[in-house]
Amino acid sequence: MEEVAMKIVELTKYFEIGRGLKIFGGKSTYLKAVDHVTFNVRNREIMALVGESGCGKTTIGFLIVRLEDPTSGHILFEQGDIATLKKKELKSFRRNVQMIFQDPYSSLNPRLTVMQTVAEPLINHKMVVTADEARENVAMALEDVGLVPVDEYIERFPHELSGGERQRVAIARALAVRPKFIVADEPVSMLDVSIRAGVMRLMLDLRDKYGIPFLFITHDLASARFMADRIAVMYLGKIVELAGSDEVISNPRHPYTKALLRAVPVGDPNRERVPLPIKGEIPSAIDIPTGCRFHPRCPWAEDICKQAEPELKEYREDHLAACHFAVEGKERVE
Amino acid sequence: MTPKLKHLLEVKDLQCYFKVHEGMVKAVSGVSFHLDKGETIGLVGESGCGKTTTAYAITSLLPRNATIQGGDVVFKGRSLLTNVKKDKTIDIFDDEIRKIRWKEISIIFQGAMDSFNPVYKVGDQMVEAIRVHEKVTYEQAKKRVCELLTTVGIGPDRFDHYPHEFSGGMKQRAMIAMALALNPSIVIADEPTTALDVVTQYNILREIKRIQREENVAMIVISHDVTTVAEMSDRMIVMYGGKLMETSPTLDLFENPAHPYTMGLFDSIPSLTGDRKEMAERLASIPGSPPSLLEPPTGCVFHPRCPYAFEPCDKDIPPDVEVSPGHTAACFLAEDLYHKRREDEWKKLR
Repeated sequence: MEEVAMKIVELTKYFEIGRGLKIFGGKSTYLKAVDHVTFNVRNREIMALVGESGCGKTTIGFLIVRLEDPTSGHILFEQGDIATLKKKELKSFRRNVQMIFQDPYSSLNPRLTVMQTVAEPLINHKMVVTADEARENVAMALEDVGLVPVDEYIERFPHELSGGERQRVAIARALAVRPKFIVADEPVSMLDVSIRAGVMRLMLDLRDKYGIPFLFITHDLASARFMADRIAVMYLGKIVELAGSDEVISNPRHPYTKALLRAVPVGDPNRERVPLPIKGEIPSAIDIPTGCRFHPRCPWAEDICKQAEPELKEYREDHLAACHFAVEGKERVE
Repeated sequence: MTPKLKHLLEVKDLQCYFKVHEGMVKAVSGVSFHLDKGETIGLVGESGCGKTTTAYAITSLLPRNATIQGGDVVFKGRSLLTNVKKDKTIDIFDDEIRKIRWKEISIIFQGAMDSFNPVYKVGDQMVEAIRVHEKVTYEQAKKRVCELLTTVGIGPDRFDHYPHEFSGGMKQRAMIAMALALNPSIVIADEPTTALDVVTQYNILREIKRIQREENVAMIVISHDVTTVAEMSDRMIVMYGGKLMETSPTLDLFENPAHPYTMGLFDSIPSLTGDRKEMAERLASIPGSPPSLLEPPTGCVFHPRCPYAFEPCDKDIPPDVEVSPGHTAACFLAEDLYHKRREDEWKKLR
């Protein structure tokens, strides 16, 4: 059994969106962004969280770095539970878990130089004392992310950098404090196509060099396949399928995963676009369907799907799926 | 011998620059292509390559600081750029071009989410578009709009709904219906599915393709995503730094790219098919980043990032080499690349 770096247990986040007046017997309505999600990230592993917008993948990322407070559940990391950390304890924790945001055009302060940006977390966490030390550490981080020669970059402002270089600065900033876990939220989706691969490769190299586990949040199955060891597919706040990257792509068990895979453009001009097996669009996370939350769109839905919510259970070793029919011998075929 | 048919639309050596504080942004410098009846072409390139400017210049939908430095757009045999003023700026409210816009050439805008006015009913906005161009009663227009809404899979009962009552995918469908409302001969689709989820994206693209076939309308699909466009278009145009890099029938472009930029672009897209290891080895960025169009590189605009760049590339502008019928690439090495004579070198250089 490989060692687990982070264990997420029954993690839940409901956003209260409308408050009914209690004296009139009103009830609050909740948006169930993340609904009892359980998974773990292993040491040295890149785990991809894939899903469409609104499925809760980014919320999970925010919960892990505690930019949002969970409604319930646990995030077990090292010896503690991130979910219940007090404000005071958060600071030292934040050094260990860093985040790379989607948009390098807004995640960097335009008034700070690269030096100041990368040095800031080092100073905040009192990891450096003198200016020379700070510069040395920053230079090391910049080298790690391929911004060389360092002297050419270190005094620049964000507007003097290209999108790819900015994202590298953001990665350097996350890396500078020697974190033990990194959450990367769509780190390449805002970048030009021709430079995405470089940034993805960089993250792979850093994982290999430092053994830092990554949670890689993306909507793009193809990048997930390239980056990740395992892929978790989310739908409406739940994980519907979780397995090794190749297994998810070549042997999907959940009807939603199957549809997603078929919807991805492959760049084959000869491909005939057949209708997808699924109907409609994602329902609102405020009004989640009963039973299996995918059943209104599922072509194979039966009575049981409307009544009972399927658990995320083992289809075979290291392959979990949340479908009543993801059982050997009970699979549905088109 | 049958006389050669005139193209439906011809863009000839178009040059469109933007005046900015620092000088001139050479957004489009010398772009030529044509579009035939019922044909779909894909215009692809990264942000800032000039693809959107090129397409919008066709109907003069450009900001005030845009200037047309040269070239022409010919639609059904007549020029659409008669509204260029002496100082080279454009009169975007010119009567001639307003008659063409939407009636003959319509646009599916990128952000369908924001393209509708939130305080008017979707149906009424579509009726308005029809009645601006045609003398029909409200009832007649409404009947047509209801038919159109059915065509795009929304249903006439949604006529009285407001934009916020539509999902993202439905707004995009309504936008498609609106673009088709006046039976145009050309529809320009600007990143029609970029803001949408994969599943919705798939359905919308399928819908566009079906309607395009049924109505036999010509289309220009603009996108940064080569794979999405490939599945829709007969021919593809690859742009970079305000210029055309390669023009080709879609299939030939994918099988035998003849420009290093196109090759690099293909190599930078992760795929879901094929061997994972092979993909992992192939996947690479193009070094550097897209050029500033204030001062584009001399010679070939791509030469600073090109692994093959050699002596003439930084001085001379490469010619458009026709490597096979309808397939041209602006590169000195186009012939060699097309016939894959430099494949080993490519692998080594990357």
